[in-house]
Amino acid sequence: MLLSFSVSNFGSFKDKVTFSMFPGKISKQHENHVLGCMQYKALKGAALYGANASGKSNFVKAIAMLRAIVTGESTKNILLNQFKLDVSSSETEFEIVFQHDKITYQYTLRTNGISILFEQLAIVQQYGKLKSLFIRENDSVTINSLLSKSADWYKNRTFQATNAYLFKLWQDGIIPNQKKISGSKHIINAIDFFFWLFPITPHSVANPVAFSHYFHQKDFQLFLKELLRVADLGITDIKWVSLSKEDTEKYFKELLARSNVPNEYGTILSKNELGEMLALDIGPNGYNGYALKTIHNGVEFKLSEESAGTIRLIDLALSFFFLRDPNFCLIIDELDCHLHPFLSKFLLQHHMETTKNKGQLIVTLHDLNLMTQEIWRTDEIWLAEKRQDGSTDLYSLYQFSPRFDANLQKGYMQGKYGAIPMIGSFDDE
Amino acid sequence: MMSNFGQRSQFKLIIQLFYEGRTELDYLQKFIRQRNKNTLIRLNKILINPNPLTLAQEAASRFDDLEMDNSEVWIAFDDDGRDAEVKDAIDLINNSGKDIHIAFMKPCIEIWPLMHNGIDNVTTPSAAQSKLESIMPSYDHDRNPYFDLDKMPNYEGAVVKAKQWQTSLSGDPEYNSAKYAGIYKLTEKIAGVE
Repeated sequence: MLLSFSVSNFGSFKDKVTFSMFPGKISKQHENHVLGCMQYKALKGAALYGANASGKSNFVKAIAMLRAIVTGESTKNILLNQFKLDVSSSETEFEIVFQHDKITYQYTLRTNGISILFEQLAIVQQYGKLKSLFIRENDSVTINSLLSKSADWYKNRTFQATNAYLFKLWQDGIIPNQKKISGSKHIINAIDFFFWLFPITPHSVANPVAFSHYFHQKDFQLFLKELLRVADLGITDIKWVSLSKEDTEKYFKELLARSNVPNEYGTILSKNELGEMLALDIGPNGYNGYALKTIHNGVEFKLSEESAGTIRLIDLALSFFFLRDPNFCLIIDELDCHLHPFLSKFLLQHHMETTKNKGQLIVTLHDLNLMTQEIWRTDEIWLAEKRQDGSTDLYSLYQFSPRFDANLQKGYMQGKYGAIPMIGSFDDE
Repeated sequence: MMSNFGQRSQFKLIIQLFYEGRTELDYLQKFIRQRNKNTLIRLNKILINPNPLTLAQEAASRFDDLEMDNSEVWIAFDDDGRDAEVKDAIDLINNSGKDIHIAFMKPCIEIWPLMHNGIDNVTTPSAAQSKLESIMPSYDHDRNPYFDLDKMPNYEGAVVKAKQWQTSLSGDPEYNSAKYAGIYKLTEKIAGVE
């Protein structure tokens, strides 16, 4: 569960800005949006608004960057995108506060884009007091008291300058060896948090690997079918339809050529160049190919024949399904991309008001119809604004103390809360 | 001492700004950041327009929509040798019955950074701009008309001088003065927010 995220010198972020999921002191507003945590409470959702180029996507990218470093997706090159309009600082800092297994942690990482300079994992105690678990400075690691019984194991890890030490602990087998390693629970909690933190962009597609876990799961199939029914897309069913042997061999030609594949039981999903979702299901008796097809009044359609909105909804479906899990934190850049406002509103309200959904949903939006207290508490709405020097300022609508019945959309359009574009006119007009 | 970890603060001052040029906005944003008041103060861009009278008319007509707790409507513009328009704009605000604050500079906004450097003897925009170019290397009136706060060393001195000019008016309207730096009223408001 995400509690706060701070970033400096990344993308359009110059000075440190902090995005917070801690609830503000307000009443009469969606009290069910406050998730019960032991020590610190968190909000169930957040919406980020702002003009084009104000930094909304960079916010999502910053979280994605930190996740990529910590989960080892970005181990060879950190590939940072630092603030280019002022090169006085070469260090980027990420600081994230989260809760996992009822314990609150703070993880800090500083990098110059070439190597990791500083990394710390700490437990956040009462009143925000930090109890450090480890501190890594360049290639040196300090192990603190909670991990001290296994200090040798922790200290003996060798890692590259571009590796997160946290990732290295996971890579070196802290999970299989957790019973032997003191304090491993905290490391595993932190790693788990990052794996459950899921940023997606307007053009990212369903993660085939994640989707494959749910290929045979009835719960997800029912959820997807129900979602498509509710969305009024004219789809009466969606299912995996068997491919002929020739088509299977054609679509999975490269995969099947790999000598070990036929021995790996399971389901492998892929998308072809037309955007169709394909599955290769391998069992002890051989393999079968499938394609995801929609059914309209008994007639099968390929995904490539569906509208951009339908494809977007199917791509998002698995992520929304995961929101049932209290550990899942989904961050969607431009949720409203390709979706009708009614459908976006339905997706948001469904998550925010469904008690069995315990995960967190953070979205960036342009659609002002969705800036309403019908969906959000005022502390759940955030605004991004580009300052005159090109850097991004991030603040919450809660900071204006709007009344519980204020028309937020109208106030925003009037400029009352800032973060609106100053649209000019063509010079020749 | 208890930490405020996790607590979220509300803005103590919301400035709804109608302004003439990007220089005013840029300076005020930098000033707020320099004073570490970002989490306490919000500066909203409401309208940018080169004409003081248009700013005054818009501020008066949109005032009621912009009002909320802790908010103030400000208009910031320069004289730039336009005494007649400036007189109309200031009179319009004063006669509107609305609580609109004016940050008016004469001859132009560049007088303000010069005052931070102990210079207050310029009376035309071009003199102020060329003087500023000589003491602030990054400033270029045509290409980069923004202020480097590191080259504005004596804020307190500038405020003292601006207050002296204000006092010397003795009830005369601001547009009758030869030099004026009403922006101090806004910066002092910002500086005073705790």
